[in-house]
Amino acid sequence: MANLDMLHQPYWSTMGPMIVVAVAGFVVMILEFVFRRGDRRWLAALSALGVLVALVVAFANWGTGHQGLLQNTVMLDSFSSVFSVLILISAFLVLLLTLDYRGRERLPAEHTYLILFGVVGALAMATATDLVTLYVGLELLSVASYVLVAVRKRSIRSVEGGIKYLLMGAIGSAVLLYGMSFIYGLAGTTNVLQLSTQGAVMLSGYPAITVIGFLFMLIGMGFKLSLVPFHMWTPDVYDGAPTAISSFLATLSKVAAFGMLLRLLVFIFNQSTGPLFYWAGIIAAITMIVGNFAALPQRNMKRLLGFSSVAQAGYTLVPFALFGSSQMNQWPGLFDSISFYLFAYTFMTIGAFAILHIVERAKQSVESDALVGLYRQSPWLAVALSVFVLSLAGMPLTAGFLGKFYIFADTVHMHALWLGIVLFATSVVSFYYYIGWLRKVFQPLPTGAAEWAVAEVAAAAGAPVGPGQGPARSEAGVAGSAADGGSGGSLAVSPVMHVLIALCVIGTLALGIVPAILLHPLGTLQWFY
Amino acid sequence: MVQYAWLVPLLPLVAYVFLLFLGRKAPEGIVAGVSVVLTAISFVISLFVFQAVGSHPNGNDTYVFHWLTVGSRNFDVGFQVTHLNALMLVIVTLVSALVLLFSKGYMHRDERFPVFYQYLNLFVFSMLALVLSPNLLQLYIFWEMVGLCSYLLVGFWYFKPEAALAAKKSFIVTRIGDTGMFAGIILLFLASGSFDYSTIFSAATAGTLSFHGMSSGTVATVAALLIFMGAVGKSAQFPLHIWLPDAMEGPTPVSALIHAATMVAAGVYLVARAYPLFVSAPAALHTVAWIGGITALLASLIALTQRDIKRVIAYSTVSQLGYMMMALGVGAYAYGVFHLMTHAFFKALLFLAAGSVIHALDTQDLFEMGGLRRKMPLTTYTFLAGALALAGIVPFAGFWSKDDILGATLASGHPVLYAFGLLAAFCTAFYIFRVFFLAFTGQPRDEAKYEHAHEGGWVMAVPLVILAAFATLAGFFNTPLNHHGLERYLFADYAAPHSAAGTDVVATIGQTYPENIGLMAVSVAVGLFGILVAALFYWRPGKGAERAARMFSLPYQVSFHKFFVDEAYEWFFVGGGKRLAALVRWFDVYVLDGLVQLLGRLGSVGGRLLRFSQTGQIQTYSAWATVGLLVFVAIAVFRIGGVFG
Repeated sequence: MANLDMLHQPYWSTMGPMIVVAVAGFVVMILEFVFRRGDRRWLAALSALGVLVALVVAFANWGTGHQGLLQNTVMLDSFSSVFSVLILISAFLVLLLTLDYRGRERLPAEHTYLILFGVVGALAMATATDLVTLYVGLELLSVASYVLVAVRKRSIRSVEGGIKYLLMGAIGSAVLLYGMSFIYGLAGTTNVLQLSTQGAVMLSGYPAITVIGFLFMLIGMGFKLSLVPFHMWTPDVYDGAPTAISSFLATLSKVAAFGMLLRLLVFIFNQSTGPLFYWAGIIAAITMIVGNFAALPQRNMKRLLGFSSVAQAGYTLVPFALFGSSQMNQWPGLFDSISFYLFAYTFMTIGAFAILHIVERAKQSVESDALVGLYRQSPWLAVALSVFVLSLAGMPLTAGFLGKFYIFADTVHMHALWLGIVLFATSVVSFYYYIGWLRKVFQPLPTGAAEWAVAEVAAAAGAPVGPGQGPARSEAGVAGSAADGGSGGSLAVSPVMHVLIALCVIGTLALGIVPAILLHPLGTLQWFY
Repeated sequence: MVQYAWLVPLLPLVAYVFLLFLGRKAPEGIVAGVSVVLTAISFVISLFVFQAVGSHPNGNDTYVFHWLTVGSRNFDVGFQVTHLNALMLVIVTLVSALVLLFSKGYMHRDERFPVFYQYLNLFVFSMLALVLSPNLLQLYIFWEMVGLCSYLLVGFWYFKPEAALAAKKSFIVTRIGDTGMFAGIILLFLASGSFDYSTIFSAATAGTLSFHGMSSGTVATVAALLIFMGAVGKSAQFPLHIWLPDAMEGPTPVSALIHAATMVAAGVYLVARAYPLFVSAPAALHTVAWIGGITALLASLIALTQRDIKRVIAYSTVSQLGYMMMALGVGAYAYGVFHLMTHAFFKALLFLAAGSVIHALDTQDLFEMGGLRRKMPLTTYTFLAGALALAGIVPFAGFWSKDDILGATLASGHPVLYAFGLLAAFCTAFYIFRVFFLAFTGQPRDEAKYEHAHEGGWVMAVPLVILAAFATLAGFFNTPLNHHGLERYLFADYAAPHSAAGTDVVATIGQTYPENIGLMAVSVAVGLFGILVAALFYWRPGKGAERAARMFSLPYQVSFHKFFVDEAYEWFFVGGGKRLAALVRWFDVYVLDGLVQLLGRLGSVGGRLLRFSQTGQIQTYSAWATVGLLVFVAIAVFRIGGVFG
């Protein structure tokens, strides 16, 4: 009668968000097939609406205890609630960002439902409690991402990025699956809840095999999280993909991967974290160091954000590594630190990408020189970018600072000060390249290179200015598009982008000034059962 | 009503944000209108809060919510309404609303008019939030914000080098005090485990403060003295009084708002707010009394000879703040706060009236004025009301509060301080009427300037009239005729059964001093005598001033040069500081900077090296990944004892 039972399970309360997003994905796919003409950005708006509904459902499930489903392959608990909410927020923000692609630079409409299916996969990674289901979620997200990166079929760099991501992702998946097979071989089950009682037995019986299984799983996820030395695809892919998709990879994909990493490794090896999680600390340290130093000579802003996201993954991995050196009663605090940092990271990263997108369109360049004069052009964008960048660097009164501060405090309390010192020292390094952006933002335009601004003024005055009249056309390399009168000439910001940037600014500052709004609800959650 | 007290600081903040969005080109009418209306609404709410707190006596209403957790410490933010800060809310919002209105006329056609109003609103917000803070940490944050706003406003005309210098000076000098205050706050936090007033007070009165083996009394004394340092800086007490007169370089409404009625009152407010702590540290309380007394006398002596109308009033502020501190120091808690209130009204009035004069004449030099009575009657009579209040002539507001203070000083057994106070009262009456006679009576000394003198229109007249009414009548708030309404109101903070302070502390705070008709007569006589002397020298145009200067040549020079305090600081601190700075610079350039350069080089070399690994070839990437994987697995397996181990 097990089959009959399956009809009577509380699907809605456990898998509600997933169902909503999946339905939205199919609806959008069919609509996309029916309506072939015109500006189809309303599909993205519809998708964002679907994600918003799913977010409401996920909030309704917040803190309602834990509930297993389908022979405990899916689990509603605090963990899945927090990560579902996080994933849906970042999905919503990314969809808002894709709404801004219009005119000549619009994305093929497939991207909307691909994002939605990716979100379904991400939600599965956050809620599943079975190795196989988790893996399927990961693949659903990954395959959607591979296509999304290469969504601009005619752009060589987009396609190149897609291929690179596919190949590296495939290696990662293989390594992960290989690691899982070791664990399955030792324990004879794929259910995480059952495995969670056997971690200690496995380690004492077959230490080497267990370590290999652990490391393969960690490193397999490390490809997705771009941990060093499995990160090298990151700058190439972020640079090649459309900016909205880069932000998708940097936030949603990473958040989901972190959720899955925690679900896999912390839940399975909860009794024997000491000797295993030590390795995560080593990887975290290498990742922080390499990510930050590699960003130093970088001039391309998208590549720089790629390296920065490598470094940020390293910061987030620090509390993960601390599971190895702490008492079990300290673990909820570690979950809080990780969740807080991921929330902060989501807001500031998507915000930074959004402004990058605006600047890129206006100046057809992602070199950091494109930021010069931004403050003169749009004080609001300049201030918002400063907030995001300072938060990424970790200035007080921003979310990024408190996130790092909590992680640092954890390292002090849990006897892993060396990780805290690496975190602190590499953050100092990161100030160099982040502040470099700010310098450009507030630097006035050099008199010669101000042509695109001049062109804009002239256009407003109704006087045509031919391309190439200014003396510094070649130097700026931006004037052509500005004077073409094409879609991407000016620093025009659509209302949607204003909303998106405002949301990100509010998120970054609110978490930085009154962290209690997030820490309090997190504190009431029960992470274990 | 009390639970809505947060609206009071919020409205000026709303005005600030609104003006920020309006930008620098906003029309003056809208800018000033929004600011005045919102602050006026704040004032009305404050009145309701004031009334509501008064009507239920156990009034320490605290509303906090959780802000931060660091380790096991929890930090709250919120607001607390006591009788003391309900009174402060009323004073600050009233004076602010009037000053905002006055500025409409005074700053008319200034290029940065909207910016000026932004700063003013931000300032009012900070001050109100400071007043409502339920703990020392929050107070400190707004304390610094007040300092920042003061810096911005004093240096508002930053293109004038004196203004820029004065702004810098005020910021640095108050910072000296703030450093001590911050140390005091931290000490209290370490000793009591909390920033909350109530926790600290109950620990101080119960004698349970502990810090590295120091006794509770010692901790309380040290902490109280450190916190008093902050008050000395902000309230311009001797020896940190030097910044306030220089700060007169700011626009005159700023002087009225910040440097007379509200910001400098923050120091006095702080001592009053932390009064249970001071009472449990008698040595600190004595220090407060003596610093206050010395300041009151010294500043009034300096004010005798200044030529700049605003400087005279500025020194008068310093002197009056000294009175307040002295009152608090000798245990006359309610009288200190009472004087704070009356002083806020009459001093704002004097500054605004002076502003009106400066606006009309475009000079601040007293010896270029004269005879304004005929051209500016309204300003003259309102200034006169303020001057009489300041001089302490019955029945103006200043009389009641100052006389209370003098009476309490003598009754509490401080005859020397009483003498200081009385002498200062004489000087006060003299210098303020010197200003009055020089500016408003006699013949104009500068005909050209006199010709185009005029009243400043209704926006400047209305605040003057309202403040003049308060300067005349506010004193009755705490007279025997009113059964000492203010005293009873303020003591209610400590009368409640759950008062955090201990009973003996409450007894000290709640002590009252009966009126002494004889002393009152002496005060009034001294004040009248001062006015008389001033009249003798300055009423009639002529050589009065020079005659006075010649008669008292040496004391005149000493007073005119402000007792050479600035020069002494210049020589000792600035000169010493420069020598020290040269030493530090050497160390910085050759040692620290070298190290930093070295680190920077290392970083960029490391970055370049890493760049070589980023070839763009997917083969390279997967090779690195595979090697990394194998290395990790190999080391891990080796460490755990091999596959078969």
